Amino acid sequence: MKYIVKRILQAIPLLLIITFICFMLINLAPYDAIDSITTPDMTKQEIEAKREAYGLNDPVIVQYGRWLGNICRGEFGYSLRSRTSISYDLKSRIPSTIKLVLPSYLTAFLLAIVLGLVAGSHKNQWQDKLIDGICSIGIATPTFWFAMIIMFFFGYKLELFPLMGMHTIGKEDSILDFLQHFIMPYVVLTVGFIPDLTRYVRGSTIGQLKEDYVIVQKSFGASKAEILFRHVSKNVLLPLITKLGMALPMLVTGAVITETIFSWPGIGPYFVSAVQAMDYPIVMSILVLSGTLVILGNLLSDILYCVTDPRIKSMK
Amino acid sequence: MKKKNRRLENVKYEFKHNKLAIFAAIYLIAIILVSIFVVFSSVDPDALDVAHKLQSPSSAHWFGTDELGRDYFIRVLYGGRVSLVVGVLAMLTSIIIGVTVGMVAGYFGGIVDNILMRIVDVFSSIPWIIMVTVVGLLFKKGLASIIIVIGLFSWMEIARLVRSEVLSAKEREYVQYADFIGIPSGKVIMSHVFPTVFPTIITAATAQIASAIMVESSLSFLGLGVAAPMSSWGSLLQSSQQYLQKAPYMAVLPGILIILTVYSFNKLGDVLRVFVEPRITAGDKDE
Amino acid sequence: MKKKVISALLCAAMAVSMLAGCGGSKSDSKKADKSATESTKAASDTFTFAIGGDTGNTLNPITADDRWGLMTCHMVYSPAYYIYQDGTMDWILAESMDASEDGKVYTMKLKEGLKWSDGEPLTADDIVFTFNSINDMKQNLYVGGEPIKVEKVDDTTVTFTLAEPSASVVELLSAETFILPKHIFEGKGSFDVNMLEDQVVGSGPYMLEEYKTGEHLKFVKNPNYANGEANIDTIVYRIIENSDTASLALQKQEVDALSVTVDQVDTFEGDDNFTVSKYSEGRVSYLRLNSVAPSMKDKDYREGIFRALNRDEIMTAAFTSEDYYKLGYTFLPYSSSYYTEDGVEKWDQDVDKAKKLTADGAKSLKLCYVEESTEQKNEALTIQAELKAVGIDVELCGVNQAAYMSAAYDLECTDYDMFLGAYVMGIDPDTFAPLFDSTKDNMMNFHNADIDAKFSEAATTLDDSKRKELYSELQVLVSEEALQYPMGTSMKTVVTTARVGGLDDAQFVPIYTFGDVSKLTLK
Repeated sequence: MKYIVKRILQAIPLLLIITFICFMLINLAPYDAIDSITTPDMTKQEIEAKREAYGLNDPVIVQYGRWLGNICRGEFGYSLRSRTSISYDLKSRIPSTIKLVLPSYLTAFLLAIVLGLVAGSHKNQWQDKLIDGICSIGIATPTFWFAMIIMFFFGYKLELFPLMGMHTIGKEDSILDFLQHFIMPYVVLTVGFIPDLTRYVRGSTIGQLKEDYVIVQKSFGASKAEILFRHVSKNVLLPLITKLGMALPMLVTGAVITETIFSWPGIGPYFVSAVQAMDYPIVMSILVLSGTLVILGNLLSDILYCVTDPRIKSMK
Repeated sequence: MKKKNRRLENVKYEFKHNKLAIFAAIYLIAIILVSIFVVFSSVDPDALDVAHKLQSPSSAHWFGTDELGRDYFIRVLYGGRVSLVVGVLAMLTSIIIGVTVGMVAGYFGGIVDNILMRIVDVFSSIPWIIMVTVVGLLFKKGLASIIIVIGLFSWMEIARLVRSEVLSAKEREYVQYADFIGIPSGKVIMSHVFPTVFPTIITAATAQIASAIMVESSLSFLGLGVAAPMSSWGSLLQSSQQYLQKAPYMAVLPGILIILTVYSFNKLGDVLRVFVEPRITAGDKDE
Repeated sequence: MKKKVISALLCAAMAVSMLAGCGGSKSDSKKADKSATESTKAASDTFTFAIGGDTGNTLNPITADDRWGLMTCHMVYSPAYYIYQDGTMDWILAESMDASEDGKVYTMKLKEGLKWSDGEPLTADDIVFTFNSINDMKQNLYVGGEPIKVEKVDDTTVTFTLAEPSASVVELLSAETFILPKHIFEGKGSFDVNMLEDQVVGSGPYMLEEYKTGEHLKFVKNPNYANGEANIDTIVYRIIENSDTASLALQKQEVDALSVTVDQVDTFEGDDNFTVSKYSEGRVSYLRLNSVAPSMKDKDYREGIFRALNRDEIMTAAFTSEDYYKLGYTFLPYSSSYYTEDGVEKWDQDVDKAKKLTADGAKSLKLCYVEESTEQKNEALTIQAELKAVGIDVELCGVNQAAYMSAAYDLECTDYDMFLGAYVMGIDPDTFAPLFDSTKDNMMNFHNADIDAKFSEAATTLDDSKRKELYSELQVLVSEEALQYPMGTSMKTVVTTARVGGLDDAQFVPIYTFGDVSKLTLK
């Protein structure tokens, strides 16, 4: 318990640092914050008055404080181009991204555990060679290319699935319709997540199989499967749980490319078009968001680890 | 010396018995040679021929022409040049930063180490796609800034590796002795520690090239990469997406080349790891 | 609203549970099955029109000048009347417009019993309010340097008093002049309509029901539409930026109508499931040099840029074959009866001269264009190659529609040296004045008092041969500034699915695509 509190306290300064870096980047960016507040037909005096009212003439550190306060209240400011409230956009887009990333990541996670254990326990046999070989190719394959291939065959040639979006308009309530839109990006994303995770599981399985306790078990005559599922899997899965925590930021930024290709109305296309249009307030909001999630994710994984592995408590 | 020979032999053994490694090496040599000598080809990759746009493959244009009548095959080859240049130079950038940070952190330890490693943590945790695009915004679009931006955000792994190598090297007697008799720390690092971490760097470098090529192609695919008329494999794929239905073959070549190149660099890295960590193969052969 | 939120949650739960392998939501999917028998095909009472870019959430019916914004206005607002390309009048809110003997006073008679979409009566007050508001904001409706005086006579009668008679005033008062509800905008201080929050009140054939950023705009028919309730219940503008994806969505009949690029036409031609309609919008493509950019101050340099270009090559790159474009050398579309090349500086390609003229100027330029437009991208790449041949490097800056509009129409913007663009104005040449007249919108950023004076004079000239002469002089004057490089007029091809009927009644028109949307039908 004490350890968890300590970790939370440690995370706070890190959060401050990361937000400060983001804020400095915003200030470095070649745009004037006043542009997102004013409209083109305002006079110079009106603009100056706004500038004063919004505190844009204050020292940087004061501005940072106010900005941080706004972020804490969930106010991210306004888009330069469309002048919409960024929080409004994020509120509609983050759930879409989560709907896509969460199922994909969990599927990949489960599949990777199975594949990794199989490969690791059959090291250098055909199962391992096959799985590891496919993973090597998978790692070398750009997500967007795989997406294009899937799109070409299943969207264009076989016409099985719709090519873009999340819903057919007018059928926002139809789950079947959602699933039809969902399946291609879901497959692409899952396949994208699998190789890294599998290799990780495989690596730690191989490592565990070399441990003394395995040799001891072997000498006691335990069967291979028994060792694998009783003892090794437990020790492999524990560190994996921490991976789950670290995957937290992916809920926002895990599918930028896939979403863009399939026009999934999540954070991805929003971010990419903001970058292209140099819409700095949006870009920076997403930066802050993902930075914060990274730290929270690390915190979460530490806590998970600490909860699941009693040894940590006594160590620290 | 003897130890080194054993390492070399391990690599040789690995090459002999791993057909995929041989393939990777041959492929890489071929693609590098093609990228170097493609400039001697008589076909100009940027020459427009709007009257013959979007033609399908023929003997004159092996992979057809693109939306402005440019020869697609030659553009793919030039695209490879760009991808490889970005890969290699971004790798160099990240190695320079990574090695410097890792050496400083590992050698000085204490508070310096602590601060540097926290920075490494921060950098390596923010998703690359966010970081790279954000910083990319502050630079002018172009080849040089892509290289710098990718380099700036891929040095963390190398810094970690180098740091731990330095930490273990520091424990060795001869380094401790040098420190003891008062040889300046910089000199000690350069003359004693650097050679020990060198193999690690080489291994990391090949993996770094692969990932830089991957990042570049993703960026270009999102339209945030190299500036037209220059093309890389990623930007070629981006424009081919537009014609996926009419000319799917345009998406084939750059995609396969990216996969083969990244795969080969990774494979090469695996083989080189045998050189750095001889025990890996030794262990392998036992089982 | 509540219902929607619940279903969104269900979707998420469903997706997760499916993966966790419990699959307990079968009953839900069965229910959904009924409503989705035709899988992803467009719903039977909904007409879906694919548009190539987002409108943004702010709609300003007075300042809107991009295609998507205007198309949205066309749905929810109405002008008093509309003039088709062939000159026939479509009376919408007004039933007549009569000129006095001296041509200085026009009397507009409104139809009886007009209503806004919220049920409030639409009267002469709204007409007066609209025109006064426009005149407060810009001078596009000025005739002879004076605003048109708009006065209410009674609830259904309005008079327009001109300082001088004008040949173009009837068209001027209708083109993109949407009548706005006084009871909504008066006292609001701004004509910005927030489509996410505000209820849009108009008098168009449809009412905006929903705007979803980056996804779609959904309209339902307006029961109070002056020309009678529309045939189709719901119209959706679906935003699809990638033109290939859009074309595919049309092939799969996920959308019902799309303006296709030249490369895509042959996919649909000869297919019974689709109707291909080709027409001219009088759309002029051009390259504009930014007159305020430091690099473009020298006229010789500008001429050098133009001399490096090859119109034919650029237009072929963008529109493939002459079936789809016609080269043009002046700011007027080729189809205009006022178009003339007499004395116009054509800036024919001359690479040697171009090299000489640009020798002392900037060697690296930035070209801004709309990224979503395949046509502009190809134009840009061609221009880049042509300028490279004279030793000038062009940086291509493809930006999205919204970013383009804010840069291109900011007359002090020096971020870019050149802009690619295309415009669709009206039938009367006076409707082109806002492009070049520095007292009006001045979209091309010209500063030539001669040109301003000539436009003003031509607008108040009634004699046709005299007008022709003036516009001929204007075409010469504009070309000689070497700021705008017109490339030609292009055709527009619209493909609709076979179930869409009433195309002839609705008529194809510039910008909005369909003239009277209410006449469209669905089989």
